[in-house]
Parts: sequence; structure tokens; C-alpha cells
Amino acid sequence: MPEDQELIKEILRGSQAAMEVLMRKYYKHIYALVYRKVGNRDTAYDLTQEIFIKMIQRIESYSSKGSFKSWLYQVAVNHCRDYWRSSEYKQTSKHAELLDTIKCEQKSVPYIFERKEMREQVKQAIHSLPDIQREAVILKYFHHMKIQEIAVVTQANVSTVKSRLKQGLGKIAASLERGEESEKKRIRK
Amino acid sequence: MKKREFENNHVDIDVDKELFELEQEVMIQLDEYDVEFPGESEIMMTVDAIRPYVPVKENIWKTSYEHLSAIVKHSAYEVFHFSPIFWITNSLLLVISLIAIFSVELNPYLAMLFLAPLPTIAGLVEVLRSNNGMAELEMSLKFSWQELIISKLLVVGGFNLLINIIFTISISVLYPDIWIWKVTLYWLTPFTVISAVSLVIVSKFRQIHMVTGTLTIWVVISTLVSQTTIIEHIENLPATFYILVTAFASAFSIIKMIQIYKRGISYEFNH
Repeated sequence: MPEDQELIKEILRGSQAAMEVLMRKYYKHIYALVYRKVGNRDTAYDLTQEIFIKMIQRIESYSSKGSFKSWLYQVAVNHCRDYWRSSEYKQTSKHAELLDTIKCEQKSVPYIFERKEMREQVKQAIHSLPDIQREAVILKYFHHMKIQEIAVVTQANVSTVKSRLKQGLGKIAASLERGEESEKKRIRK
Repeated sequence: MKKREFENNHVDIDVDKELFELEQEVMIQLDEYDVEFPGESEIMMTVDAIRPYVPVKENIWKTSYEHLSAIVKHSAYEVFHFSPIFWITNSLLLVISLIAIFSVELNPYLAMLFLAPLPTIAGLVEVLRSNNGMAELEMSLKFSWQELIISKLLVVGGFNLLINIIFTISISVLYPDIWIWKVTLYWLTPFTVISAVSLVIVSKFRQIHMVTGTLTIWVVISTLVSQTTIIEHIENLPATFYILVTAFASAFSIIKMIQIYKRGISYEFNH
């Protein structure tokens, strides 16, 4: 597979094929990052598309000194942060909250655990984190980045990233523990 | 679980004991959070959505034609802005050469061989002399330095070519027995070689005294070549030799001109 730098040169010369190769090379990584951040398939799909459009629009400004992967992740992280601040997100989240309330009323919270879907528990635990902690946790444990790399991508220093990870993991552990206890109680009943 | 430990901690020196313990507590559960990836058709839709943002591919032929036409247009402008000394010197050279050929009855082939590159050498003075003039500075708002230099070189080369054609026609009219292709080869070869050398001077040495140097070298070569034995050697050289030298020098000149145009010459002039 051609190196990122070669593909970028080709893209700058107008190669659609190089664009497709580069996009496909990183599509799943970026989509997975966005999906785990937003927890919604359609929103993740739209945001991923917007991130790749930004990538092409800004590719001329990419300095070949750093890693392209880090640069792209930085674009993705910033785009997601912009999304959280946007009115679009606020509207979507209100709608999602409403849907969640309806679902909860219909099925009740314990019912979710009743399904024994660990995935849902983990998802909820991750989504209960503040954005910056969630970001650090996703990059570290799903994208296997080192703390140094996360610091570059999120434009924070190493100790801040470590602190975010500790707080994030602590909250996830507590959330999962609560989920297990609630499940045990439900079984005892 | 073991795989995750290796991926995350084995190489990450920033993970401390506290963080490591927290990771052990939750990492196996984190694996449960998998991703629902879009299908191929959805990925293709994203590819199509990005396509309009890919930089537009340059049409090399169209761009080259536009650059070339700009240079030719500017050359036409330069014709009227060349120093009168250039035109006077070259006109005198033409007249004196014609008189010499017909009155002193010089060997017309050799006369062409020696005289052919002289206008180009003289023209280099014009190219190098005025590169810091105000007119060029004003023009440089419209044209790049490369375009200015290439345009001037084109005027010099074009004028030299015109003079040589006039010579050839004059000789062929006055000497009906003359072999026109031989005359053409005799002037075309030194003309292309000296043009190639001129481009090197312009791009590398860029000193006016280099022109004087080249002129002196050419006069010395001409004098040496005028020796009867050397003339015989030159006349015995096969036509293919002249054709090959001409082709090589022409190819070199084209490459050099493209280099000057792409890389720019203003830096070399000013440093």
C-alpha cells in the first residue's frame, strides 16, 4: 500500500483514486472513533463524511513533518468537539433524550440490564463521561494510542491526558459495578 | 485481555500503576462496545461526496500552451524595448559579414559556421544588462522574472535565426552551386551549441563579462579552426555528426529553458 505522503502528493495533483485509497485506509478508524463518541450510527456516518471532506479541504495545510494519522485524528476530534457545541447536536440530543425517556417508561431501566447486554452497559458508561474524558478513553483503549499521541491529537499535555483517563476509567468502573449490582438485585427478586 | 495489555501498556511508558490497575478493572468489558460499520454502498456515497473537494487536476497541455503564449506575447513586446545598440550592432554584423563573404570570397560554409552564433552572444549582453532596470521591475508585476528572461532569450534567438536564414537565402541566391542543406547544417550546429551555452551562462554565471569571455573563446576557436588542416577535418565530418550535435544542443536548450522557467531565475540574479 502506498505511503500516506505519496497519496497526499497524488491528491494534490488531483488524483481521485489516491483520495479513495487514503479515505478507505482510515475510514473505519475515524468512523469507529466518531461512533463511540456519539453513540449513534447515522450521526457517526454524517460526521465521518464531514471529517473526510475537511481532510481534503485542508490537506494542503498538512505539514509532512508530523504523522498524517495524528493530523487526521486531530481533525476528527476537533470536528466532534464543534459538533457538541453546535445547535444541531443540542436539537438531536433533546430528541434522543425524549426517545430515551419513552423507552425507559416503556421498558424501565432494569429491563435494559435484564437483557444482559454488556455492550449497552459499556456504551452507557462511556457516554456518561464528559466529552474530554470520553475522547481520551476511546483513543487509548479502542484506537490503541499512547498517552503522548493522545496529548498531540487532543492538544493537551500528558499529565492532563493521564488525569482524564484515570477519572474516565474510574467512572466507567463505578458505572459498570452499579449495573452489576442492579442486575444481581433484579435476579434475587 | 492479554492482547489489550500488550497493546496499551507494554509500550506506553506514561501508564502508571494507578492507571494500570484501573485498566485491569474495566478493559475486558470495554471490548464489548463494538461498532456497527456502514456498508460498502454507504462508504461509496461518502467517497462520491468527497470527490468535488479533490483539487482539480491541471491540464498540462493547456497550462503549457497558456505559459508559452504569454512568453511569445511578451517577446513581441520586448522586440520594441530592446536597446538600439543591440539592433545596430547586429545589423552592422550582418552587413559586414555579407560584404566579407562576397568581396573577400570567403568559404561561405565556414563563414556561416563562424558568424552564426555571434548575434546570440551579443544578445546575451542585452539579456543580462537590463535585468535590474526599472522597466523590468514594473513589468514584473505582470510577468515573472523567468518569463522576462525567457522572452528576451527568445527575441535574441529568434533574431539570430532570422539573420541566419537571410544569410542562407543570400548565399544561395549569389552562389547557385551551393548546397543549401550543408549551409543550413553549418550555421545550425554552432547556433544551437552557442544557444545552449548562453542558457547556462544566464542561469549559472549571469555575469556580463561571461559574454565577453564567450565571445573571445568563440573568436579564438574560429581563428584556430581557420587553419587549413582543421578546415579539412571539419569539412570531412559526416552530416550525421552535425545533426547529432544540433539535436543534442537543442534538447539541452529546451530542458534548460524549462528548468529556468519552473525554478525561476530571479533568485540567481539577486544572490
